[in-house]
Amino acid sequence: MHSLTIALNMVRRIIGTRKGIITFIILPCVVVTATIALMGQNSNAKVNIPYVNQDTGPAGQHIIEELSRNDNYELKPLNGEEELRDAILDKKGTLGILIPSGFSEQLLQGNVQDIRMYELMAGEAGIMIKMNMNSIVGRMVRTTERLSVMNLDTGVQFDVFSKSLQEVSKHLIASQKTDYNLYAKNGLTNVTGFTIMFMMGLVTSIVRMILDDRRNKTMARIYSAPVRSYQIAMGHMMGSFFVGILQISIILILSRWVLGYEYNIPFLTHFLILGSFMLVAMGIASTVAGLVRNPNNASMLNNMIITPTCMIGGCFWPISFMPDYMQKAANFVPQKWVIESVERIASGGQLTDIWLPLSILGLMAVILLAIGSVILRPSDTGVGV
Amino acid sequence: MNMAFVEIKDVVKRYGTNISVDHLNLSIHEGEIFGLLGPNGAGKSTTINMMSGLMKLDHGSISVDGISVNDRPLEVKKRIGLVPQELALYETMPAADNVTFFAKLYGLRGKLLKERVEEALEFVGLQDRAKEMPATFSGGMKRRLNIACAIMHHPKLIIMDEPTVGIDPQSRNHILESVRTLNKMGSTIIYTSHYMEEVAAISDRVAIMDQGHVIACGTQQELRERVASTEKIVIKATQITEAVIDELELHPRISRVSSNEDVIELYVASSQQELQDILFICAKHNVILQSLACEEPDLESLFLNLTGRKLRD
Amino acid sequence: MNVWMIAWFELRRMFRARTVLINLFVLPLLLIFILGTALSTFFNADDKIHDLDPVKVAMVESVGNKGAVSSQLNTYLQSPDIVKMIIMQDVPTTEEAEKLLRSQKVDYVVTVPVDFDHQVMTGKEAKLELMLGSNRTANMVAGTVFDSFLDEINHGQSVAIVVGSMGLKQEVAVSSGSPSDAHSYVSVGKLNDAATSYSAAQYFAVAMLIMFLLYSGGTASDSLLNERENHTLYRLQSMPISHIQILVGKMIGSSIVAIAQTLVIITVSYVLYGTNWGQQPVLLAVTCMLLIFASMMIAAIVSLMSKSSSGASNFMQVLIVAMTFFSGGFLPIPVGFIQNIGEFTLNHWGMKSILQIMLHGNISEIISSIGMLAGICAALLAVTAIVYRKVGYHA
Repeated sequence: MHSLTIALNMVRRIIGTRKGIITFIILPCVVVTATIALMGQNSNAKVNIPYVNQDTGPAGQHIIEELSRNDNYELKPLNGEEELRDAILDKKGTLGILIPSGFSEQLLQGNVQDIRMYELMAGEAGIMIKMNMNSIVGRMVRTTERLSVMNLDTGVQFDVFSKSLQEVSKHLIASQKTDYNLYAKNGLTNVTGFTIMFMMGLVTSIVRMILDDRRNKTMARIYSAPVRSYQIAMGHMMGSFFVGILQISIILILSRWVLGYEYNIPFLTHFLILGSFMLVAMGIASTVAGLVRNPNNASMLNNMIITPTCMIGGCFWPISFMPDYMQKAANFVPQKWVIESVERIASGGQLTDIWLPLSILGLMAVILLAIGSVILRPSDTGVGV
Repeated sequence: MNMAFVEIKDVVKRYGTNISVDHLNLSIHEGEIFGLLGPNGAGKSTTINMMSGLMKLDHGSISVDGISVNDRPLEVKKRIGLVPQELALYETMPAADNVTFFAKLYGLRGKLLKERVEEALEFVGLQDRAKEMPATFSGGMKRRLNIACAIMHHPKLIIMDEPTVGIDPQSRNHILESVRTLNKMGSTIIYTSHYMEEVAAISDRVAIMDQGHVIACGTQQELRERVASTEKIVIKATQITEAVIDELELHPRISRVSSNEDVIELYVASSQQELQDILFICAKHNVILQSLACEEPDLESLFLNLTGRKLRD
Repeated sequence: MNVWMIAWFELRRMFRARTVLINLFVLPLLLIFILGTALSTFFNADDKIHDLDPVKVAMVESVGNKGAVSSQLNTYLQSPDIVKMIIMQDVPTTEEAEKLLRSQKVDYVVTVPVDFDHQVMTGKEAKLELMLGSNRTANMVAGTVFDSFLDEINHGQSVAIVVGSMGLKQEVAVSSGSPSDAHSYVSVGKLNDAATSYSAAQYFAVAMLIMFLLYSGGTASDSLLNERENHTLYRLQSMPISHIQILVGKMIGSSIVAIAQTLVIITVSYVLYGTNWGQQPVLLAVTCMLLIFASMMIAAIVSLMSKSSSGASNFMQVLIVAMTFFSGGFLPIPVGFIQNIGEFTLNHWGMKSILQIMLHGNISEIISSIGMLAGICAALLAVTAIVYRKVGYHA
């Protein structure tokens, strides 16, 4: 079968040489796996929050104590605004908090001073902590409102306030959370996102090779043999696919069993999801290759497509944090569906639960590969634009 | 006798342990068309690279128009136009832009620049395609553009490295004509090829290179005279046996015999004298003659004679 | 002179290719658009996490337990803001609720213990039992909703207890304010002294600018190798110009494109998103030029040492992504080890310089960061010179 011959030839060319194995198998898989390990550690890391409490009263203290209740936050006291700023600028802390002096006094008099939050880069942690602090301060404000209605002496008011806060920190009325760990691991999205970003990059290099063939006319030579053009296209697809599957397998094996990263996803399902994505990536790369003749420009264009689609697709931040219209745009981006499938399964879903994302990925793959194969005509020399 | 325009003295070039050019000596006279002939790997391209300052010499000296290539390469380059063996064109820029760009690097400017560019394109017959991309050209047209990019600055020396590889006979003739015209216009031309017929057709003098040095050099007439055997006899016959070949080879005035199934080629000093002997020997061995022809030997046979190998090995 | 002619020709060649224009101008702008829009919600967010699918919560409540607190809870849960976030359904037992949770028919479970109201009213410990489901975001949302309510009650009760123990008259009912009041008590801390604001979204604008500048190095590398593969380098080297002029000319051509790209990115991001690039245009320009220079040096080194343009291209791509990643360009990465690697990247020092400029840091700090960048450039220049001497740019 001609397609198979072409495919196997391609595989041999890609990974048949020592350089090929290093460039396409060893190097990328090691890099991706190492990154997974690092990112895995990262998501278990706590959010570093240096703070400066210039308030001498109970309110400032209360805020700090309440924030400390969260196990994910690592609060560290510093000595002044200067030090705090430096810590943030040097990225020693994710965000910094400054409670201004006289906060408690002012609060009791009905003036709430703003707490200052120092952040170098926007992130999920910032939003959550901001929300948290607003709730804490909000409650204290309402408490003071209640107290002010009671018309107490300043000293008594202060005393009541102080003692109330102490009482509050006992948290007699609170929630008791039972966590069966049904949800997907924190950081799984980022890990998946990075993996698929890398996969797209690899597919680009493979398609580039096909483009070079077109330019070198070796593709035309194949076509001059009794081979149909669809067989050439199929052969190339199959060849790229074989190499891609090999890469996925190695990455999964290394990260699961050598590094021990717990995906909480069955191997085959994971393989299926990533494999479908690989087909879509191949489709994108070949469509680009078909539209752009010059191999250099095609690779560049492909690389430039990878970053924005990964961003919209939720590889770096949760889609739910983006505005509505962007969330809708995300539906057209394959990354979103991969991440959704991965998260679903990792939080206890079954294969049947992800039939929708998988079908969408499949559909995208079919359409893009069809377009790509039509455009990748062997006769074009590919020297122009 | 003209002053040597290009003087190559005792030049050596090594690639690792291989000697690519081995104590080469050549003189090329101003105003001549000089053919450099030799099989692949003889060192022709290397010699050209060294002449045009693209490669450093390991030993020896080359001077062009009295200027040493080693000492003042930029000066030498100003006087040379190189037509490389590989097409060296920017396929995504219009033909005229290609020529203009290179012309600028030779120092042409303004009105003169425009004139020369037009002239060059006209010369190679591409003036109608000036604004088109070389990517759309045929092989022959690309070769012609390749030439245009080397001549617009009216160089004193034009070096053409296998300029007719892979093109149709019509374009080839056009190119050979252009070479003659350029020569008449005053340029010295060095023309390398392994197509003996071309070199024979246009060169004033020829040097034959093999394995890094010159094995023969001179006008074609001189070269022919150099070799003891100047004539070639081609016999088509049947029943050619080992015995007849052996006896022919033993003949004192037959310098070389080669045979194929039904052809015997003999190299002799003068066919008139030896023809009788040859026919006698053939008859003795009952060789049945079908045809007999006497040919003036060509450079090919000269090469064969000198090296024992064919030019097109 | 020759150098400029080669540079100009290079520019003309590059701009003929439509894809180059797309890659170098349109796509960066697209990226910045995406970033700007996505991140503006990050930063200008009011305190609600909006536009999420409502969380399906199963509530288990014993029938008889309709005390004051429970009814307050229900009122709270029916309030318009909360209804957008939570959809309640009653479930008779916790076991059933758990089943629903595990089969992902509900996202969260809340069980009100039988003695809940009583415990609250008598000032004793009272816990609402919450069960987390399979969606992290839903867990966060639901957790926040219920915790807010409970904390509010806790506050009220604490005041009541203290007031009571001090023998003072208590006037007010359990709670008056709604926990979902959106009032912001947090303001942006100015990372530096000057008056203009810095939005944390700007961080990514800088990271992306630098990434694109590095990509133009990739373009330069392709061009250098193409010249060789095209055999036009052979012709160029036979001309009366020195080899180094060819190399420099081509790199200048690519640098000019990079400069144009920088101007476009900075201007458009300023006009569309008000990204404030600081008040030091000269220092900003110097930083960008140094980054472009460094990127060209890397391109030269990679091209001189590569045999083929596809190999070089792949390598540059991996290098650029790796450097951007390790310097925190895609995601903030507080892990110390990664940050240490990051300090060796070009991106890190470029970002530091530009961020300091944006934050109106004091001049000596900015200059010292730029100094580091210049140091890296000098080192790269030295390496390039060595490689060029050893390998050369040959046809």
